[in-house]
Amino acid sequence: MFDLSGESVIVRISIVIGLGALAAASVFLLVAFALRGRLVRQTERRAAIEAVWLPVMLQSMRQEFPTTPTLRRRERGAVLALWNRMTAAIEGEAVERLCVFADRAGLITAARALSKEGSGEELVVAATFLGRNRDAAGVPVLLDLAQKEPIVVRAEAARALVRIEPEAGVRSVVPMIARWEDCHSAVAVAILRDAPSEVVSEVVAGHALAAQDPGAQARLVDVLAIIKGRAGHAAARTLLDRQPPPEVASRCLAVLREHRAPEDAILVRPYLKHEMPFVRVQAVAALARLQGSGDVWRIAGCLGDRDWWVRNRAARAVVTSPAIARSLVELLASVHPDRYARGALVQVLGEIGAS
Amino acid sequence: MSGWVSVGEWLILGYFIILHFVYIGLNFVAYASITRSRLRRFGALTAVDPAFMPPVTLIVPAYNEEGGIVASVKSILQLTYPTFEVVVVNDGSTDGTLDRLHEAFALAEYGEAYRDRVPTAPVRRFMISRTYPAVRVVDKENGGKADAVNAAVNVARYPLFCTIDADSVLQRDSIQRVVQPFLDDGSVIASGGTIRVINESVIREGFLEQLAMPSKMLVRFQVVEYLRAFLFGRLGWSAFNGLLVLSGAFGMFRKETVIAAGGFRTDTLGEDMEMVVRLHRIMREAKRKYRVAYIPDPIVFTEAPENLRTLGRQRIRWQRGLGESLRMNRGLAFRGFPGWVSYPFNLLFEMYGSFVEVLGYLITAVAFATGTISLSAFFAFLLVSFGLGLAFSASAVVLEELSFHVYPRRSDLLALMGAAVLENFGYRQANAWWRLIGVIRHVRGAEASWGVMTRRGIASSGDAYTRSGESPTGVHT
Amino acid sequence: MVGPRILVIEDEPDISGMLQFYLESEGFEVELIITGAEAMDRLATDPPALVILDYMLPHHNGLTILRQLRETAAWVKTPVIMLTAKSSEHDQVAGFDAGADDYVVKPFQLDSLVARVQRLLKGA
Repeated sequence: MFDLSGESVIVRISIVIGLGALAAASVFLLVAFALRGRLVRQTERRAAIEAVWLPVMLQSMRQEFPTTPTLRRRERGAVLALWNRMTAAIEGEAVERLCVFADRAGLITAARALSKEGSGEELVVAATFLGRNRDAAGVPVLLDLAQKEPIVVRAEAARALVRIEPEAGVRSVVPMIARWEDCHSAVAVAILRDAPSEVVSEVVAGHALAAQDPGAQARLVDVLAIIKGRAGHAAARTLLDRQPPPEVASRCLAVLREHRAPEDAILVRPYLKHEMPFVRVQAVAALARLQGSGDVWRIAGCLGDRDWWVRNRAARAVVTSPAIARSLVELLASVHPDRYARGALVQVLGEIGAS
Repeated sequence: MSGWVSVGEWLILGYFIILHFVYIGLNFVAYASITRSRLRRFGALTAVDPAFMPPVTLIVPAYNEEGGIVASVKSILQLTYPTFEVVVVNDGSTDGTLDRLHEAFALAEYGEAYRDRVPTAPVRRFMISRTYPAVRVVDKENGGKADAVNAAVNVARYPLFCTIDADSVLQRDSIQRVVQPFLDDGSVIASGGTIRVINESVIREGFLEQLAMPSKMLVRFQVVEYLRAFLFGRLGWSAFNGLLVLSGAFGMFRKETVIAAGGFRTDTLGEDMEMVVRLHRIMREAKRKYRVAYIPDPIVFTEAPENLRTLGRQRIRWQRGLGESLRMNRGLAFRGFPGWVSYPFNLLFEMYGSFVEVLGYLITAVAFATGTISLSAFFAFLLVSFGLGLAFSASAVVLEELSFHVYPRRSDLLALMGAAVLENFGYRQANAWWRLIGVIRHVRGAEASWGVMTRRGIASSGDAYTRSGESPTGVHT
Repeated sequence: MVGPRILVIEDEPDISGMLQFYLESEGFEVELIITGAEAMDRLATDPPALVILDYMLPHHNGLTILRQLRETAAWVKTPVIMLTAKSSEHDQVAGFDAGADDYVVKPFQLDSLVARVQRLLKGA
């Protein structure tokens, strides 16, 4: 082909690299096609599996127990995923019957096996499945899954544990949530949603009170603000009494706000003067919800706060409070000695659509 | 003469070797992270309780957009996300933009207790929609896009914000996806996703219905280019928190961080790009823990230029934007990974590399014409540049197949590969040329305005904002 | 013998498949539709006895369809059941404002949905 003996090193190197790169490019192209081929086959295979399993599952929901197809090893993931999708949007008797079907068709055994050896996605599918089936024998594997990475797998396993045994599940899962730094409150609430709120409240409150790390404490109190219960309410009160770190205090105030107990006002009032603005904002918001008589005027005292948000929240509370006539608020908006307070009131009146 | 050639040869060779080593490295990292992100995506959307999704402010800057502004706000209102508000900024439009908004959203003026935490051109009034309380409009004097966004940041109520160009098309769950990194990691200060080319696709009511493979070759080249830039360029850099360029068309920022940094600069062509580089610099200087996150999910779709002139202008602008971002944030150099690796790499390769590239083409051509190098040497050089370019493009196609395969048909895959081959003949050279012009204009512009203080409220030139301030720089082979 | 025809506008095939199976075994005729545009076409050409409408459709808000439905004289009386995710009470209010006759929140009981369909059709 080329006589390269007379060429410089650069040219020879170039040719080697160039040919190598071309070879690599061809390999990549082949791989891309192979991947696409695999994708198409997977899609077809899944469609074929569903064509067999979907009608059977549908029939099982009407209590006409059909003969179950045999479940092949490589079909496990797809069938379980189908089952999960079907049960995602429905509840009640139809789900009970699908659970009976799952047992008869060997899906539960398959899910337990899959949750030991599956790929990441299969682990999640298996965990969801075991949880929806309330498969008590699946608890040990789920506890294992709850140690795995990433958070998606752990969270799904934790959620399944809570579904299977609401009480015991919550008791084993909450300490994990307290430990998991990567478990955002939004994920924590999603995990605990299915358990009775009083149980969640009690267990989470206990751990929140005992937590040493403010981050974990804040996360747990976050849950208490969404999943409401007596214990959580009491814990937030206790914590507020202890002068917690600001990020915990603001969340405790949010819990009190959700519970709307007028007697909490006495706990909230001191926080109107807290040094951190985000705590004051929560205090104003909480106090506005509690609606104790006279507190509207305490809130109005925050209209001149040095933080914009505190003024805004205070103005919102004053404008929407049934205790102050709109005409009085409008008057206040024009004669308040503090121009920031006037600004805040004017804004909220305008936003809400005054008179 | 021949001595010169050999110096040039060695310089160019060295340049290419380092460049491609970095690319190969990025590639490996991208493969590793794409598999991880797949699982995350699989579980993430189901595992989160909406009660805690942080509320976000969506900012729509508008300058003379009377044609599309209402449709664009309406489609934004259809996004699925628990809590968000929309702040439209009418940046001193001279057409009926404000009237259209009035008609569509029943706007009522109100007295915002305005804080100009970031200084902007004067604001005339604030309006709130009586039919959609989540929609507010800021009417201000013209100050350019960055200035408009700053005004919206001042009135934003929520902790995260994101700028949406009136012409970009989103997915319904775009916000959810781009917010996810903020949930996963508390130190995230900005996050962005992948931009895809939408030309010739079916769009209904502001949402993508069917993605099509564009028929124009010039657009297909850009499809391949975006794949490379996002799927392995950005994915690779972000693994080391070294991503300097985020998608400007849909980047989510933590509001307080941006305000503390002084808001968007009005004196640069790429304000989103500059912001990300500046955030890196400020956080590094303050030695704070932070992360600029990138998710490979396709969340924004945008129309790519269909003719050479527009494309050239866009590329020149990007290049100047990059240059300005780097120049304005020299302090980032040699601080952490972004300072030791991303910054120098962007400066030497993405920015000034175009000199070497164009020089390489010239020297090879001249040397060949004058007979200084042999035919075989000439072909050897072509072979290297062609082969490597193709290899990286093909690798990006593999990454696409591993993750999103947004183009449904097998023939689309062929089209992508065809474009990956053909772009080596002309497109890449043109790109190098535009980038070189961009560099030259940047250097000249910098000299001209040397010592001129940052001016505020510079009127934006001409018509609606120059669109797609987004640059997929990062991989340009 | 085929019963009244029900139009199911729902983008998730699993849900629409279940609805179809359930409703058909109760003797209804069921037509599945995925997009809003398609739904408007079908409504115009062949008005059904009842519509089951998902709140979250691709490219088309379920509420928009509902409003269009209610603004057209011929369809004002067609009973509509909205399906929605459990996320917010606000949506529910919006749905009733726009003229939905009933509201089912996912996850829902199939039996109770069928009962609601039967009740609405009896009333009509």
